[in-house]
Amino acid sequence: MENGHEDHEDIQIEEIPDEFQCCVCLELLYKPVVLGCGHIACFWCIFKAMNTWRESNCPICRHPYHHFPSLCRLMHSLLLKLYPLASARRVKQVAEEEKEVGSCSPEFDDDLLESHCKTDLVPDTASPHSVSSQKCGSAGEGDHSSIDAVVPATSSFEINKDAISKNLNFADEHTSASEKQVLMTDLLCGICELLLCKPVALNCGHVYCENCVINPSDKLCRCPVCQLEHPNGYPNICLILEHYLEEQFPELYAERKRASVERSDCQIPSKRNRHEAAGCKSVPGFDLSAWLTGGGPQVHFGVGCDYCGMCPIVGERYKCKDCTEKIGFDLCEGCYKSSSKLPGRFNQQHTPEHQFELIHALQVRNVVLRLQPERLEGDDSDFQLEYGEPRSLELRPLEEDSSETNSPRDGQVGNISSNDTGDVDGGENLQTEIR
Amino acid sequence: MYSGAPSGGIAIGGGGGGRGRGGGRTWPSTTSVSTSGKRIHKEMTELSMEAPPDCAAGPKGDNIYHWVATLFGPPGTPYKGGIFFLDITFPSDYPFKPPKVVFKTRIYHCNVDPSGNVSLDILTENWSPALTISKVLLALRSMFTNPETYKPVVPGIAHLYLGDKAKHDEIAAQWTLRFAR
Repeated sequence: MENGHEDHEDIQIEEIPDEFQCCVCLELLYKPVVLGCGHIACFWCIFKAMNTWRESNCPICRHPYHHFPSLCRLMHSLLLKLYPLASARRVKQVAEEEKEVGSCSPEFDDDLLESHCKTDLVPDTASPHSVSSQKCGSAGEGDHSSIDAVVPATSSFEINKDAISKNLNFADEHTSASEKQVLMTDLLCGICELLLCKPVALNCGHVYCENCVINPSDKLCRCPVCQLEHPNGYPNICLILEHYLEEQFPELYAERKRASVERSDCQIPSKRNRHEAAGCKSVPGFDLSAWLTGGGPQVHFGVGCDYCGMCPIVGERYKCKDCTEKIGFDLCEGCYKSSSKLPGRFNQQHTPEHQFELIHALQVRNVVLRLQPERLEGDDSDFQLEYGEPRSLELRPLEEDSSETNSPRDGQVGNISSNDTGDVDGGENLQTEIR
Repeated sequence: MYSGAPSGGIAIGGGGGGRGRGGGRTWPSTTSVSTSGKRIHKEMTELSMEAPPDCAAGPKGDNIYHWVATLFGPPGTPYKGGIFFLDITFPSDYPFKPPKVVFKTRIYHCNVDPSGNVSLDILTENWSPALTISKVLLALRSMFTNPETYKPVVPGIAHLYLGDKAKHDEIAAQWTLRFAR
């Protein structure tokens, strides 16, 4: 029975184009998050791929980031509408995984999404079999008004696209274009309320036109809706979304692009300025060597902030005492002091009445003992030298241990620079010491 | 959040549960396969549809976490005409940890140590979950044409390659003839 159902489902699933495939799980993107570099992956995939010891890198371009972005609702609802069947399957899959793991990804309380999810897509409590068979029937008949009508949208799009582009007033309520309107209104910029042009997704998950949200006069990029600051410089254009817009609304998009170029020739920061901005607003003093010698800020390894997504938390960490979820609820200093009241990232039942406590980071010694040697190896030579000096840290007992087992080398530790093999050897010494 | 993660590097809190049965022994025919199993399965189907040139890979037996791959020595290199077998072992938290790749056929190459372990940056510190086996195979293939001589595991071979390439190629061709035919 189970197997038969699986096969049946596989056959009727939509073809997913490569750009909407998650690079990590190779499935349809589900609950997508957009990184600062513009690349997209599933919520859980990014979560699992993040490095909790230091800043993480984009799986595709290795662009470093320190904040786990919030879900991108716009992409999420777009994918739900484009691929309802595949999405339904993913909903089921992920629900199973989450049950196993015991933590949840964020849910939306959005009306539109809710209705789609509850009525059409999420057969969570009902039996999945009946729902999926019902859906395949209705797609054929085409009598469902909202979401099923969008399934064959691509074809009807082609027919009507010139009508749209002639009639630039796409916000009007023509019934003939109802299925397109769902998509058009979904792809509007929250600031200019026109079709998105060069879309960028901020850390909070909201998507805007690049020109609308990037204000070259201040170097920060702040979301007008949730007032959160986008960390780590300006976000890059989300090319997958842009490509989709270009394909779906070729003429309209070209028009928008032309207009935006004219309007902002002088405004948009050049690439170079962008990099400067990225440099000035990047991760706050996240320097492992400084931290190890006691000078740097506290680093809470393996703990992320539930508001801004900073992981690991650098600086002070506030932990909720009243949240009972296994995953916990923590805030970084900035978010604790801000007045924003966002829901937790993992659907925690956190309320403003909950009490917080200040948590101190682990001691250097504990962390070093747990660190895997290869993580230290990658660090700069300054750090190795610091480390190599016998009296620089309170790791004496460990060093004595290693000198017993490895005495001939111990003499060289202090002057790595004069060593015959240089860096590599230094790294080895370092490892033996730590053990 | 994510506070359940003190022990490992990349693998953190949320991921743990699904991986318990990661070493899965049987072909996953049931609906609930762990994340890694699903991903490996997906790669398998994609590889069977379009494999990179001169490469082949697939599960060894019932266990989809254990693959065997075949590389054909590319023309224009001393490995030409050789058939190299590799063992690929997927960790249970694949793709968040790299697969382990070992040459089963002996090869004279500065980046492959005598027991067959490959030193390739993308298989260690530069691994990214967006990489797939087919990309790894491509990287291995380009390793045949361009050995990485800056960080060799067998420095002697790298020295020979840099100093006397003709001699290096001659030995490599001999080894290919002896072990990889």
